[in-house]
Amino acid sequence: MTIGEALFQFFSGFDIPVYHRDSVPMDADCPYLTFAYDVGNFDSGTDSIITADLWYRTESEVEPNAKAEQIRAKIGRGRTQLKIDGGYLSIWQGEPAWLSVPDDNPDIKHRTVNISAEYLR
Amino acid sequence: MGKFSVIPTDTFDQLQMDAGVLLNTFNPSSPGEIADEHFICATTGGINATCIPTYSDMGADVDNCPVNTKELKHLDGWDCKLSFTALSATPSAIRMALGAADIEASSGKITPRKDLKQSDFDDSIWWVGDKTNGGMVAIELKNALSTGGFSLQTTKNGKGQVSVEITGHVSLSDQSVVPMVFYSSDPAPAG
Repeated sequence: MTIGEALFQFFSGFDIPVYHRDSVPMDADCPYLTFAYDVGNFDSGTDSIITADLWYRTESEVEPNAKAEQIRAKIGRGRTQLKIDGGYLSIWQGEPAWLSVPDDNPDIKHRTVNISAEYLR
Repeated sequence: MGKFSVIPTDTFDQLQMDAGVLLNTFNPSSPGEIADEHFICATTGGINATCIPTYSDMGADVDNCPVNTKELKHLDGWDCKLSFTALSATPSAIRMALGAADIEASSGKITPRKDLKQSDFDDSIWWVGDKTNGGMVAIELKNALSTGGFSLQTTKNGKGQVSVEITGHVSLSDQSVVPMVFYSSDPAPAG
């Protein structure tokens, strides 16, 4: 499984549509999740970064906050291993775990979930 | 890439990940969910497990005998320890660090004792950790007693930390049993 496929599968477990950050359809309806990642090397000494962005069209903070918390709780304490070609993508909660990001459109609620990663391959 | 710049194909399946947990009981043949009461304490900075042999060179004073002659090497014993920094400040965690001590449950008073009792030894203390492939690594320390004493370090705006060193002991009832046992297993096949 490629890195993108592994992350798509992981983020598909949260009951909202998932797109890579650079491949969001023009007619995509909120809520949805976009993700982006960089690709690192084993034992490079620096962590790789994965971000999951949540997009909600709502006046309430409750739903987007709950979804961000759901993702954070799924990753849990310690590391979670995602199987990829050649080994594993080891992920853990980033710092901060998630945050609210202001949007020019007041109807949009945007949350960014930060995930740290190490490529074990 | 050089011919010898390679790694075993199962390298990334067999990595031990994260700090693991300290437990007062564990069954390595059926490692299910961990009950809350099985945790010994929360820790910081991971756990250090050592099992160091002591050898004598019986040929050391033999004229003309080379150093480290294998037929004359004698295994004297093993020094088995678990060392960690505990964050828990429960009476049981404090008593564990002290070793020879008593808890007065009604008041939460913990009193170090002048004499050591056999009941101060824990039959087993376990460290259990994850492997990347979903398996586990476990270490059992037998007849465990804290031999490093109690040492608390507090910091402004921080969490109090207690340094603990626990030593495993041999029992007279079975003197051939080394007080540390290791387990490494892969997850059960799916389906």
